[in-house]
Amino acid sequence: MAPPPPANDGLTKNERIFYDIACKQENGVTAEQLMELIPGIVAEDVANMVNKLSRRSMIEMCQLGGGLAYRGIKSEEQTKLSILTQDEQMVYRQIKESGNEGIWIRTIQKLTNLHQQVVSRCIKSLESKSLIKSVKSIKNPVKKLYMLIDVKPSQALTGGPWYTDQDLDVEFIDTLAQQIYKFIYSKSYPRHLPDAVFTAQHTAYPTTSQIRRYVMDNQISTVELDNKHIQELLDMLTFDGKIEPIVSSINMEGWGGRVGGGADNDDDDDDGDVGGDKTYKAIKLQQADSPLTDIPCGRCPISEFCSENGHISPSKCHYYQKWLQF
Amino acid sequence: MAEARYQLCRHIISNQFGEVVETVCSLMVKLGRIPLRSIVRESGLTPKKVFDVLVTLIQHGMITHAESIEGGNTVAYYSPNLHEILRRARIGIYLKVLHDRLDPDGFKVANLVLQNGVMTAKQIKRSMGITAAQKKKLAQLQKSILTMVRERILIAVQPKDLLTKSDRLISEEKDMKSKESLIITANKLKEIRRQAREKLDYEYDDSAIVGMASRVKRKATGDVGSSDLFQDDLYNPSKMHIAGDSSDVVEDDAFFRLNFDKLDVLLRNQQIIQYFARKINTGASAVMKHILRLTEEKVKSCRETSSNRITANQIVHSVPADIPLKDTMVMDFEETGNRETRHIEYVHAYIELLGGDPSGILAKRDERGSGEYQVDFQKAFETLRNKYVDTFIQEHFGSVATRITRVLRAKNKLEEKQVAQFAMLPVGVCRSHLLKLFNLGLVDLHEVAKSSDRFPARTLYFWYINYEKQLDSMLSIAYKQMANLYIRLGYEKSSRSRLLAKMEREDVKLDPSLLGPSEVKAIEEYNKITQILEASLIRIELVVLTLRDSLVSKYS
Repeated sequence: MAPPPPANDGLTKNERIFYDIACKQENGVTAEQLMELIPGIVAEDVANMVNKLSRRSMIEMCQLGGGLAYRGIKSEEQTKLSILTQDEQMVYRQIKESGNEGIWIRTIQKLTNLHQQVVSRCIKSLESKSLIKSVKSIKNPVKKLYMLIDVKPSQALTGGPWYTDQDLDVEFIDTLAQQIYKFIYSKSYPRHLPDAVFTAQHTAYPTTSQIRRYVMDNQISTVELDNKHIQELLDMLTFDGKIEPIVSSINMEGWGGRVGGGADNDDDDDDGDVGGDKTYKAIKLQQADSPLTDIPCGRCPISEFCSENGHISPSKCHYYQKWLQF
Repeated sequence: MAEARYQLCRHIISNQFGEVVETVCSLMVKLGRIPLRSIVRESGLTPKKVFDVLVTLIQHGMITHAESIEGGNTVAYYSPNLHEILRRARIGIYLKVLHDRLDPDGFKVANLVLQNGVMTAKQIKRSMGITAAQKKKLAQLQKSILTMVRERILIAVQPKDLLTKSDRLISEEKDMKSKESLIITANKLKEIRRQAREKLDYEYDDSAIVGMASRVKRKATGDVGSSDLFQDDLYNPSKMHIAGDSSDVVEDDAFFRLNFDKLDVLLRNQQIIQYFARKINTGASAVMKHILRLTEEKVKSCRETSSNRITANQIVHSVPADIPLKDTMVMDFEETGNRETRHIEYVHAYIELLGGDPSGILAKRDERGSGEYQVDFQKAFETLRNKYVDTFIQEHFGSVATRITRVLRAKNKLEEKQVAQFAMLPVGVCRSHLLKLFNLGLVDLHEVAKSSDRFPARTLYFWYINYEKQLDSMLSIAYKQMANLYIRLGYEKSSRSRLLAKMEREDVKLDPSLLGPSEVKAIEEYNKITQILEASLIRIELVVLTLRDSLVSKYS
């Protein structure tokens, strides 16, 4: 809540009450509510108070349902706004409204009905005063979005932990995926018998929460990751054919009925996401050998032009010659 | 695709039957259904030569013929059976399967039948030089042939085998129409066609084995399928018998051929076993091998989508106790009981493990008899197909492209951005890989226009896998590569023709020292090269087996 303005701010008692109520109400207060809350005032008094307070940038007007509401402006905000021109204040308010999603210059122009040049000038001025910043969205890297300087852009804009400077950090993803695969592999096969497997009832396969805990505890990632992020990596590893989800689940009494409940089921960080906590098993990676790419034709860059009696043919092929002499 | 297939057919025939047969056969592959006079005109060969070639090809089941009355004359049309021609590239693998499965006599019989196309039991005995006086040898041979017939490795050739499926359908339809006394309405015609198709399917499903007689009594199977079509005494339904009767003997006059459909099943099963050996371990593959062995009897061809149901108890009893399962699985509980009990526990554990595999190849259907299982061949086909496609893409384009393919397989139709999101890749990288895959026909694009003008900016582009197109592309690549291997084989042979001719000389065969050191070296090199090329051919053919012949709907 905003600290009360100094006593010698030149406000009457009713104006002070009005300001306090407007600051307390998040969605602002309407004229009717004011007349109920402050005894003895009429609509004309409310109008006078609104004029005075808005002139001093102590309240702002906003739409509430069908009518107008008045919202109090915090004192630090007032200081900021006091140094701004009327146009800059309008632009600033629109940017503030956009929150952590940011707002495009064209949208500001449309909402404020200001000329493009005016909006551009205001934005330049606000940037120079370090009140706003520009960010780029991963969805549309060309488009500049504006938000208040102290606001952290939303994940939809930054792309979450997988993005560094608006670019997908493939190296980071691959390193993390590699470590996760190693962890799952270590839990998927008995160490003393490398060619052996566990039975179908084996319950110590790692779950999403356990994998997350492993990543965070071992500081493999400095970025904070939640189960959803780990799940994305696990899905990627599944698409890579490195791991597979365990299909059958065992509901064991006293194990919380959790899908594929692991041995150390005392996780305190699975935030109750029992239903989505899948169990994974590593697949032993085999050397990919495709009969179709073993022979030179499988990798030949000019195979399209190859024919029996053509200039390029298997009989005269140098790649074949090399392959057969290998 | 068509061109690649045509070229491969040419090379297979040329490699196995020589140039004259290749000339006629490639002509038929190119032109399709064709009468004798046209073959003679187009090939430039003498009518007698063409006729001999046709007899050879019919003998080996590579062409079918149908007669039609045109202007009062009966004209015979010959059409190539592409499926059978392409399958001949697999002969080497068939021989290996037969060698592993049959006793020495059986293998000799299989070789003989393979060389001649079709043979009677009498001809087989004569060719092997076994007379009635050699009772022991004769009994052994008869037993081998009987086993092969019972296991459907040898099947009797029937007149219907010389016709194409469509000819058989037309003939059946014609017969049914002639029985109708009233005018045939559109609905009636539809019904007739349905019945004709059903009749052919019934013939396929019928478990009777043709070509076997009983010493004790003759048991009709109640087959109605072929009674009207075929009047020949030899193929009369009254001579058909259920397999497995101990008193059965093979009829001396019945013609038999190797049942490639059954051999394909055995090859397909081997691939399933190898899949589990690579994915899980040798223990799982050993158990799977016995599961498949239990289903083999009822599975006639790769067209069947699933096996008969077998219980866990049956599987347990079929897995021999000497298979070392103990070292391949870690139990979650302490082992108790004697060796036999422990073995049973391990087999049960493996059955459960195989049943829980995400591929879904072994599916549990019921709890009866410690669990009733069924092998899902459709799932097996999909798994093997995906494996071959994925390894090809991985080797050709890298692991990123494989990931993209798997994303599309799992999620179906997706926009470029969505693909990138699931694959955790930058959109640009994703796009370039999708285009590469698209150019090879491995992924496809579905356009959904948002406005009627179909303006590109207002159109959604969804990537997806068109499985039929993907298979066609893969087969096209495989056919082209096989044709190239055949060309290279031919080149290697022709470039050493003089040396090979010298090798064939009787005096050189008797005294190899007549060959100089450089010639010996050249022969060794030639043998090595042909071995490499033939091994590659076999490996590609196994891919083709999965992609083309394990497909349930399209190619069968």
